[in-house]
Amino acid sequence: MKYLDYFRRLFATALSFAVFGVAGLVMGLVLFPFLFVFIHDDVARQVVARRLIGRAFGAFVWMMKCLGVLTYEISGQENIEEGRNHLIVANHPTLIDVVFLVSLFPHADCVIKEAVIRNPFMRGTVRAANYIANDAFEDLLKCCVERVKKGSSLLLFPEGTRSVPGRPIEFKPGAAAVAVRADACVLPIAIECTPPFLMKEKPWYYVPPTRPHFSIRIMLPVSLYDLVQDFRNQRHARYAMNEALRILITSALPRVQAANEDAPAAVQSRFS
Amino acid sequence: MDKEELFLKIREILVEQFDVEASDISMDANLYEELQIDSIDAVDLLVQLKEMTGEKIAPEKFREVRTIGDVLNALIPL
Repeated sequence: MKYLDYFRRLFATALSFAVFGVAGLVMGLVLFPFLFVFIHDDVARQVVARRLIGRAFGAFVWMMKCLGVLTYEISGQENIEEGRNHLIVANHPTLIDVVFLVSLFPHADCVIKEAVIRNPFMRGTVRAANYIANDAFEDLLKCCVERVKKGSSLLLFPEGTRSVPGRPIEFKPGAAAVAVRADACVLPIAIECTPPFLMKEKPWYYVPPTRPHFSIRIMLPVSLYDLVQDFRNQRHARYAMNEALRILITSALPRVQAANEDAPAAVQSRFS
Repeated sequence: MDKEELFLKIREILVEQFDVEASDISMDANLYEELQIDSIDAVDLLVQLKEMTGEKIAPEKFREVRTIGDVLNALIPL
């Protein structure tokens, strides 16, 4: 019985990825290039493209739930302030975190790997949605800050890549830099997947013995001034903000917190 | 601007803006490990150097930069 459940989930996972691939291909090669033909206004096209991507990602998550690949619960949606732009900052345990978050925040800007943008199958989608490329590094920071200042929401995973289960979380400084420079309203999100699934260093077909459950907790929005007292200069504020955000999100992740306590001085901040 | 001037300029920026001790700064000093510069500091440093010299360092070249000497070599080709 246990094996039957395992193989059913393995098959459903494979099917999900196949559907994702085919749907992505059709959207990237047919649907989104068509948007360029029919919608000439860049802003209007971006709105339509992002809405489509958000719906598609929502449908994908729903499909995986129906197929029994995973279960999920999303809490704290009341913390999203309507009509306000947020810098959405989340931890990154799995491959599909971004799928959940884009379905929840379809209007948000995302930073996309350069390799993805150059991929001919994805280029149409990414271009139509006008996402941010992470190619030119100094322009990247400037671009993120400008878009948030102009009123866009921006989604960032400060870990930079997926976390390794059992290891403490570390944040790269970019998200905190955007928060400080754009004086953004930060919406922290804690994502937990139990047991771990689609995590780093494991292939997609590694399916855990029991069905994985995703918990996506949208926390209360915070500003720089809520979290940081050290305003000696922008640099200190940025370090303090990064550490404060890391602690805040980790505090909502019981398993990661346990790993933190086991780890010796490895995660001591440099500005203590 | 020659290498000597540029080195002094970089030292000034590091000391004044990035809280680095002047005595720690040498051509071989590793920016990230010894001088505790992070990637955002590095970008800020680069933007200022670009304004002064008019030279732009390619991203892939900058990723290889580890020491102050590397920065100078990237900005002033031999």
